[in-house]
Amino acid sequence: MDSDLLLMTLIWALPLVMSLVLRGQRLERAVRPLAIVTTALVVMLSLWAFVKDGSEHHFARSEATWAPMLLGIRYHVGIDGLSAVLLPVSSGIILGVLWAAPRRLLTAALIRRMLLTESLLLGVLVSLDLSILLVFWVSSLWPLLWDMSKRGERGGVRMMTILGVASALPMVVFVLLLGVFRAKTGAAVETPYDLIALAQRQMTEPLPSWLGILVMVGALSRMGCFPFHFWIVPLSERGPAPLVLTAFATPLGLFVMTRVMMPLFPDLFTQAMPVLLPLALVTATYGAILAMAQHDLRRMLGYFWISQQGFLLAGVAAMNAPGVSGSLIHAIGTVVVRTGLALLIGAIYARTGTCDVRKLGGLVRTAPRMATGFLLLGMAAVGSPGSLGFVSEDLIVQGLLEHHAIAAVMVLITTALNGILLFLAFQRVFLGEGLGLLATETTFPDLLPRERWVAVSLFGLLLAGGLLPAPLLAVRTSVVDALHDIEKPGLHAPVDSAAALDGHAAPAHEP
Amino acid sequence: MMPSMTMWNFAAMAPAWPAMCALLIGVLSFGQHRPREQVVVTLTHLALWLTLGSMSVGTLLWLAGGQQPVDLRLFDIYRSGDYALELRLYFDLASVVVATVASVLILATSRFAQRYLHREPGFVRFFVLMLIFASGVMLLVLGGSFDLLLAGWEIVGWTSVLLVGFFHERQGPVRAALRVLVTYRLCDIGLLVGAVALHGWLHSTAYRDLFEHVGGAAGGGSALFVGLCLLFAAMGKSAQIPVGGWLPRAMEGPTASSAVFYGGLSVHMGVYLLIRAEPVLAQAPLVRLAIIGIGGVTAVMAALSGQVSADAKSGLAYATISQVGLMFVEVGLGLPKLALLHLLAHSLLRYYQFLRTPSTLQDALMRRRTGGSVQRPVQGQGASPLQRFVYRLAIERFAVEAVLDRWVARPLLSLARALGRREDALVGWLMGQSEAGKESGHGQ
Repeated sequence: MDSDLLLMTLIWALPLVMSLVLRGQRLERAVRPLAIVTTALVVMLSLWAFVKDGSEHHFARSEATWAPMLLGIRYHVGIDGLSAVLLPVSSGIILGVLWAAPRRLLTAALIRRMLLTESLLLGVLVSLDLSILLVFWVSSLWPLLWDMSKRGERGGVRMMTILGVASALPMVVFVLLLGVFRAKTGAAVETPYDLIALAQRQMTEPLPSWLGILVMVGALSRMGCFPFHFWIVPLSERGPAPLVLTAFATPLGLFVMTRVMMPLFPDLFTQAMPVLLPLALVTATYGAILAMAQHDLRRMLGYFWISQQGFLLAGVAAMNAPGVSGSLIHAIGTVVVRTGLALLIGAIYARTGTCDVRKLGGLVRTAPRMATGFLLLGMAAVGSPGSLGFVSEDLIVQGLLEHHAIAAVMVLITTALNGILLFLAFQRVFLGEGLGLLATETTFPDLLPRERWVAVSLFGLLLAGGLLPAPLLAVRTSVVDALHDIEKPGLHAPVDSAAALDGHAAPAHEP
Repeated sequence: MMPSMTMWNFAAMAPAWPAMCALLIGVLSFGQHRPREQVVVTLTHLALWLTLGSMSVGTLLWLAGGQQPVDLRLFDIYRSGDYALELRLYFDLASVVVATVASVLILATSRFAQRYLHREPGFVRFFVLMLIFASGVMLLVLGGSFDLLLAGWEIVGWTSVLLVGFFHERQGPVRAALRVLVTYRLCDIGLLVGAVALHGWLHSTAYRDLFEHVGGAAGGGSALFVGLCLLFAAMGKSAQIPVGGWLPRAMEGPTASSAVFYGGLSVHMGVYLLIRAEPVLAQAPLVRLAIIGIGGVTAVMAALSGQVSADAKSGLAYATISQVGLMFVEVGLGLPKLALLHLLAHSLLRYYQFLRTPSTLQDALMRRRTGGSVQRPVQGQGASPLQRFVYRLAIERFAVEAVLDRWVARPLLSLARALGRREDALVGWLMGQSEAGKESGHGQ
């Protein structure tokens, strides 16, 4: 087994093993520290993978040649510029959640489910075989569903089931049909699901677009774009916050769009543009407007989340270099911001027992650091200059500008609404006289050191990304380069089409 | 050649010094104890003196270069495909003069605030915000493209909002801050769209390209669109009718920041934006007409409202709006140099007047004690119906805000609530709970 394979396997298998091992009464107290150590190890491993391969714009490919090839499925993992960034960011976010979330919520069972979820998410990111990716993808929501059913949240379970079906079923059908389609066309292939092989083959024998629509529906559901957005707000309001944050620590819907849809169905985006772009704008505006009417901070954050998904889709729908890289960067920024704000809101809830802004007010007097953290994260969320959001929103708008100027304007209006929304929330929670409705108003504790460190790290990440975005953009070139053939069909198509998966790796992969 | 390049690099640091200092103070505040006042003040003064030094070097180099515009291209902040955001500074008459005055005013403000805010709980916050503002304003004025102007513009906007809400334990300043934020965010869309449209039109937002290409580029429609967008942005920042209601409320902030923002710098940035957009305006006579119209109407209405204001700061705020309106008219008439002169003179005078407002009462008492004349309220008996009508209008601030509330803010909130109810009903149905959403409560 070569070192690449070991590294990539360790990244997803380590949390899985720990989630299985950390059982029993005796370990009850040690679960959280051990989970933190495990995740910290995963972060370090992913950072190593990032340094090693991320900057080379190509896949570090590793295949287990010894793995049994059942039905052409084989264990094929690797990372490219995109997953190289997402791996450390996602595992880092999960580490932050484990560290800073209120301890009362972090029961041993919940932590085990968090570790399991982490493993499944990272598994999606490293998979290069569609069938393996599908297994990770389908099961990644399972721990959350299981947790909610254990809690007896019947409504939540129904919601999760709907989401699970909407995001998993189309993908399962897609993979099955793909196998059937390949069998029909008579292409006797050893590895029908290998993503690199598939991407190369689509140049000579393109797949029918309707197959791609299945992937698109799955990805849109997982992103929570209108009209597949219903699950976000209930989950954000009632779900077990640390586990929810873990389950959505990676922009998985967008990832599958760029990993599966772009290389396998390069023309589909262009064909689906008349649907995708309006969908994106409706999502962005709908979320922004609805968020204005909320009194519960968690619901407000849920609608804000929906609104941001619209931005991501708009960037991808623009189908050019600035749009797509803006969208990918925005996805990371959004996850970071959402996690930070959710942790702060969770801290408020843990201290006061409410998230209703009508009952809160004046918290800045006893918690100035929390107020500052909320304000800074909120400003970063709406693209203040110097933050990652400024870069990503600028790129998305530039991407849209060429052919969809109206869409660019609408995105800008939505950003303005989001800015007003977050400041309004900040004002109502932290500023003012304090309404005297809370028992803890005068004794409301400020951020604990562990909460403070996590908030500062998340903001630091956004600031560093905003001031020095070049490295982040550089490692994404592999995905963005693949667009050239879509932008200029016919010109470089045969050469570049596989680049989304193949990057610049010179020797073509032989299946 | 080399020394000159090094000196230019030093001049280009003007926006960076305050930002670095703000970051440093932020890091110092991260620990358990906040930094001492003296440390904060020393660091701030050091940074602001360095800024002034950078500006002086820049000015000298510009003068030595025969007062030709200098386009200083530093590096790409980021690049994706054909699009790149370049860090470039532009030194010409307008930017050099405004930036130098700005660095002097900010330094003076920091000296003033050192004693004025002594032992105030938000002392460190004030200085950090002032430094960020300094950085933003220098970027806004010296930036060589509308993209950088936009970045500076946003920074100035945020610091402005946070300083209006400086005394956050009272409701008044907090509400005022929200009002400022809403106006800024909405009007900033104009600048964002304008910059984006400029990209689409000329494939660049750099002033240099603008000056070179705009004349040859066909596109009266584009010029009209860009011009109107920029005008909208300028109206927000410079408090012109109908989006000027925030300025008198913004006086809730500390005197020192009111002076430098609404007397000296921030309020004039709309005029500066229009001066920068002069080549675009030259292509769009309709926009010029609109600028003259808005500036003229604002000047008259604000002058009338100022006459009936009952407190010194509001009176000054309206007087400021009125003068800025006149500057709009000057820009509209194609006299950017006159507007620039007016801007400088006005910002210096008004800055001083704002700083003096806390002493108004004392001044009046002193005058009375020394037997000087005292203004008495004018009685309304002898006024004609027209005078009464105008008085009524002026005291109602021409009902601009009521109209905006009624026709913009309220419909939007109603829509949000109606949609929210629908959504909750649907989600409740999906979750199999008919009562879901009831507890979330919509409406106020």
